[in-house]
Amino acid sequence: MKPRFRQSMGWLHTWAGFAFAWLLFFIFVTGSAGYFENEIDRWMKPEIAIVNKPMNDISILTSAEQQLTTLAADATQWYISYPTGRDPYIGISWLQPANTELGTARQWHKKFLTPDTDKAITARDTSGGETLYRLHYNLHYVPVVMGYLVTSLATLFMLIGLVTGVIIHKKIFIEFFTFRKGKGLRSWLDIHNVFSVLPLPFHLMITYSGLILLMGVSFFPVIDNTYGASKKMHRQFYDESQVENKQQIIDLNTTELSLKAILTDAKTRYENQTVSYLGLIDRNTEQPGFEVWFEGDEGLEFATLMTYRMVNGQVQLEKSLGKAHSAAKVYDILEHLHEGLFADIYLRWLYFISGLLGAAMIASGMIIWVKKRQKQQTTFINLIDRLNAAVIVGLPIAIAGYFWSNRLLPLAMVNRAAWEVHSLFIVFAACICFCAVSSTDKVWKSMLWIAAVAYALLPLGNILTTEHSLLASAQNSDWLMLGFDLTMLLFAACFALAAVLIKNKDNKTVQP
Amino acid sequence: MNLTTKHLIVFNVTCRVLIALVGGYLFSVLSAIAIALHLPGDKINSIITGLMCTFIIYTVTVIFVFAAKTTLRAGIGVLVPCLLVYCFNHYFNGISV
Repeated sequence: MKPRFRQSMGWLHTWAGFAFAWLLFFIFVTGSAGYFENEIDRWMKPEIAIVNKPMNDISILTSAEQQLTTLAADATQWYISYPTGRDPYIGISWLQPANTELGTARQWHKKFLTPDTDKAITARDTSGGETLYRLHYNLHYVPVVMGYLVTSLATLFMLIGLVTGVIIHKKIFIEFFTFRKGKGLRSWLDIHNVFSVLPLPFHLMITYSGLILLMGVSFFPVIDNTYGASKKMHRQFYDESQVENKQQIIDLNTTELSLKAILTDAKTRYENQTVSYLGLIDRNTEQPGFEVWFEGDEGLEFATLMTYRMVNGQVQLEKSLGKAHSAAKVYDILEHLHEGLFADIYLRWLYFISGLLGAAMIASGMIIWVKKRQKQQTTFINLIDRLNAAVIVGLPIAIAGYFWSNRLLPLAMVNRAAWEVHSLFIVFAACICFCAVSSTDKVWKSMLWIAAVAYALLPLGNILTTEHSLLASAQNSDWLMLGFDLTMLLFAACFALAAVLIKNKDNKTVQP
Repeated sequence: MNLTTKHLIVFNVTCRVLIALVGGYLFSVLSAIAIALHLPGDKINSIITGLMCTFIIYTVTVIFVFAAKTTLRAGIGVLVPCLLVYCFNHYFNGISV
């Protein structure tokens, strides 16, 4: 491309980055939000009564079983979720089989129990944290495979951008400690370096593991070559690379299994482990399975599953042992590193901040792209600048819109959960329209102020629409609710600070 | 810059982008199949190893395509290894792509 290698790489870095910058920004922001999926979920289901004192495992089981017997007598599967640090509440869910007489389809139901009064509560219909985090690889409105392929391609460009970025920097570590303030483009390049170099290991890990998570879809011909090209054949490949289970016959001295019996047995086998789920599968069949899930907060394995079944009058215990093959184990580790499910609260914040630094790296790269070309004053450059504001600040506003819709949409609304996601994209579209019409000098500043206000008012909206005020949350030791509200205020402060620091003429921003 | 040189640049860039994306994909798929077929040991293991290498091979190929002196060199530099790996796979085991 260019006479020298490093110049060619600079060209590639610029344009590979430019090609998918907005999509990558979207992926990084929604993906980072995903690290707080459960916490966001708790905020979006304010009806849930949290468990803020230690409770006996057996008594939880008794009241949950009682509720399930009345509510879900003919369900095929039962699950009881135990209060854990990230989900401090008791949940029951069941799979209702299809009913041809009533014309209802097979459906999962979920309710939450109040710890003291044994009442079952239904939370509002919400898309929750899960849909928000899934946005970063399914893109919501497109067919699933298409979403995977587009995000994979964008991620490949990210990897190319990272590698070429390392190549073009001669003195990568010296430049990391350099920051020249108030020098326009030079300052932006320094900021871009800081966002890139410090969390570079994270960026490389998250990009590469993101790619290999979807490698079976993006590089399907490799599997086709051995297994043949069909969904069924691919299933066989995945099954063969799946977990190996170890079965053994145990002496439980019983002729009939019950959840209580297996809970007691599992607790004596693993005294120090916390139970996260109890499950009863294949109910109303000859051989129901009783499942115990442990919360594995040690090491990278995130959960251990044990299944009890009656086989010929004896109790059979089946344990999942993890992947059997060494390459599959490497894959597993990368997957767990990507998802960060093992992370405790501090590491989780580090994941979240690193993810946002990735988003900030992309955003500053886009701003540099515009700054380098601003002298040309063409309509195209001007448009890209406006769209930058619409994406970089508009996406956080859209996510705030998603949270607002959770509180403001009528509770009885049909397809309420779906409309929450629509709200996100409607607000996003509104931001783009706003940026298209407002004056170039003020667009960044106005957007930042809108973001600051949208986030600052969220805790207030929470007080007005539910009984969860900051004070009440603190008194209840409802740390997730309190943490969420405080984090929103923190975001608001960051946006306000950026809006104050920015110069009107020289649209200079600081990324929150 | 007159119109012809501008056109030439656009043509060159388009060619390189195509070589990088399509050629790079082809080369990484073929190499992954080579790894999947010939790595000793378990079959699943080899396939997963091959798949995990694809993105590294892809990235390196893209960098090569844009670093090459001329577009023709970039094209040959991707096509020849593709053919070599294809023949290698074909000769030893038979390949269905």
